[in-house]
Amino acid sequence: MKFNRLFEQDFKIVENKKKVFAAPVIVIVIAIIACIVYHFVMGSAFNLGMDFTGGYSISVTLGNKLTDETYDTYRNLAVDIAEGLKDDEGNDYGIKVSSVQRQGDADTAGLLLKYKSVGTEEEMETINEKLNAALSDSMFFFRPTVTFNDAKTEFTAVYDNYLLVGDYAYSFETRLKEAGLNVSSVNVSEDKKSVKVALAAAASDENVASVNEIMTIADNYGGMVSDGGQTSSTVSSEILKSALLAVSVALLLMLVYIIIRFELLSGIAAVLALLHDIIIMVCFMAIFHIEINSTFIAALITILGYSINNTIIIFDRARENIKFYANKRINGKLVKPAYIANKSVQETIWRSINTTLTTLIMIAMVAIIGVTDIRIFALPIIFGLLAGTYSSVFLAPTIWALLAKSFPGTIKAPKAKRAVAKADK
Amino acid sequence: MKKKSSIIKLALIGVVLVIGIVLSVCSFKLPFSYYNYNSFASSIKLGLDLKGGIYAVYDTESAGVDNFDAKLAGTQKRLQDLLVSKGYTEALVTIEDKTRLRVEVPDVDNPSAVFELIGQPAELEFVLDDTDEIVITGDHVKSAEGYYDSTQGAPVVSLELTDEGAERFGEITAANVDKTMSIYIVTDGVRDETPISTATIQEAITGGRAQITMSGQETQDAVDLAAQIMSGTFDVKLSLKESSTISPTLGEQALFLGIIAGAVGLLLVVAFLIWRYRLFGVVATIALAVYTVLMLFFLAVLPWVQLTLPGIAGILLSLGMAVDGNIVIYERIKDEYRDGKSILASLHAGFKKATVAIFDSNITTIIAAIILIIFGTGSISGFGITLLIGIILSMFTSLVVTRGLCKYFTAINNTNEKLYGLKRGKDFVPDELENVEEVEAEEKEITAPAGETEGAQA
Repeated sequence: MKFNRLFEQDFKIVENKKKVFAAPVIVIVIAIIACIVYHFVMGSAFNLGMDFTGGYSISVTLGNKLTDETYDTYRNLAVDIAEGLKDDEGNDYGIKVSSVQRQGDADTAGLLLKYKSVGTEEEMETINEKLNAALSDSMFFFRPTVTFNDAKTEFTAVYDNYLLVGDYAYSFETRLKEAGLNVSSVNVSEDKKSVKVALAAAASDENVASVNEIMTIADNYGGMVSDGGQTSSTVSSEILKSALLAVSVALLLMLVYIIIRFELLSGIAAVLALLHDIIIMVCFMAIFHIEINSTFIAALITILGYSINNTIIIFDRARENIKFYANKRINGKLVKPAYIANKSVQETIWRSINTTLTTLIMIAMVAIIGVTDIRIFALPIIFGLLAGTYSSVFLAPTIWALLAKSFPGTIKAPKAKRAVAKADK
Repeated sequence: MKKKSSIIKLALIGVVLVIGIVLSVCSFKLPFSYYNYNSFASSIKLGLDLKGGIYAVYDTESAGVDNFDAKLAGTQKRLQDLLVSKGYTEALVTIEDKTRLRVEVPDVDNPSAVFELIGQPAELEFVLDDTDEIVITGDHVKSAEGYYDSTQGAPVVSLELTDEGAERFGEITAANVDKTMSIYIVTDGVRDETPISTATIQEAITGGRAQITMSGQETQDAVDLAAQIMSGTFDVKLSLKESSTISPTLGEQALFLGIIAGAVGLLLVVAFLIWRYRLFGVVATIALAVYTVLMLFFLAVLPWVQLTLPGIAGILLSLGMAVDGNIVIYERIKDEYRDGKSILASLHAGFKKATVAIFDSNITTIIAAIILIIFGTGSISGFGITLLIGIILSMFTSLVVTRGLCKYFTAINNTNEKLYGLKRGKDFVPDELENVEEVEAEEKEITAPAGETEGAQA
């Protein structure tokens, strides 16, 4: 209830204009500092993703071994190898895999890894060769499904699609013994797809856990790693230009619409608020060094649409209040724009809060439940939503009130005036 | 009477809505037939990021080509445009290793479909049968069009030649009247054994147009050949290296988790709305259900829509705006009721005032969406389409559906304020005066009491 009463007191937003303008300025300053720091520490002020920078791709063909069940294992293994790749001195190359896709089917089934460049073109050539070798060395193997009997004195390892298990029977015995298992017999099934191992003593839990690894057969000829070489960016400068053009034209037309439906000053205030949202979102990406991909363009446009909606609802209230207070005098003085701005924000505050909350709930769920890439996409939207609400509630009305104060006469309420004029006659 | 008809109407709306929801999410086998019904949700085409699709890698010949990089980039763009023109706004064309083109097309399962979409690039050769001299090749073709020519009674491919091609074609045909000329297709540098057509040169052909008559074949063959020839006229020669299926960039789990996230989010929003606005919250919930069904329907039936992660953001935005429309209306109604109107009068005044606000705020976003469609390329204009459908539906939802539902619900009961979460201001008239006094204290000089002006506003 106290919370409720908070909004019953008169709002003094315009009076606190210094604070209202200070908040975004602080964010911008932090972002600039962050950009400078990142520029020197990380090499680039912004963390541009592969959509913008392009990068390299490498494909690992696994054939039939790649199934829905084994996909995660292979995928994680490939990513770990790529991201853990080190140079001769043991320093991390710092490769970040930006996407892994399954491609092909049957014999051609494999993984396609894409990653950003982490050096010059010559350096990348060496790095790609190393990555190729590292993947070739450790991606190809046959992993069995191991089942123990209840007493843990016997287990069967079944291989999905390998028929030469017999050749390995001897090495299994040695390897199992090395691992401390007391092997009494190793029997290869007739179809040569499974191996039954009997133990002289029950296996310890530790042994049980390690058996799968021991029974895994290396298969150096089971696949192929091939460099895809450089991949161009998917967002060409042309796409970027057309996006920029589209947003500019949209802003201009929105301005025109608002001028027609409201008046010039509301239009200017609304568009300035939108520019604020764009800048703050970019700042956010800079400060937290979040990867910027083509989806960020969509996030920006989404927030523009959302924020203008918010601003208009408040300006609609202001429009009514202007009409309402048009000829109300306070002992000879007209009601100030600041009063109208404050009042309009106050009257719509519950709507602003509730709308922001509901939209936040939706997008926050996406951020919490979704996969990593979706989270990265949701973060700027969440931040943009807050920035958009801030600009609609605090910034736009303040700018409007200040403009209206400086340019009196721009805001008229023609209909109301006429009505009053008629009444006077 | 009114009460009864309202109940009937609400029941009808409920039945239609339930049918709509079933059609949206349930796929089933149609009774008494072999056909399956696919729900709206399952018919929506999904982008590369959510569903994957097919890819094809094309090798190019760079030896002896001037300005190869620029030409490759030009071809990349033409391929992209070609795919967009076929409705695949989310298709991707990238340059690999500076010499290859990689084409990715979403929501297509069959790898060979790539050829149907962009054609298997083919070269044409017009050859004099006597001397085996090549008269013109696909490089001399400006455009190719396949159609059924009723005067010849056969499908034809009509070729428009470049100036150079026209000149050469004219010269050679003039010098070789009465000899035969054959047209061959050259795929990956190998000439087919049998020509697609052989004809006797009747006279010099100087108009810069040539025609391939395909007697005994289907019109579709002519159309396909024209597409093949056109894709053979790219600035760089393409030959297919590999093609296959590809999984979503966001991983297999992304879509599933996204749907769960959306459902949980919607449930929470609905719970919030019902908590804040009681029966009006229920109205909002029904309106949102209508919105969702309609949205799924349009996403499923409209071409050009391939839902991607950004597209989902567009839907979330329009969903947010649909919710916002409802909130704007209910807060207005609350305001009106607080100031002393009856429930019905508050409803009427609330809707009237909220309509203007919702209209203006949605139109601005509609303007933005239309501009994105016109000026944006590929995925940006695709995003604009999703956004546009969403906003129009959100406007429809809040201005028509919510309004109608509110009318019916209040016709059933318009006396119980608790049912609608409405509250009078604390003794509303004095409350108004109290506020004015505060204002007076601050502005020092207000003379007009709000009570008086209230009449002027209404």
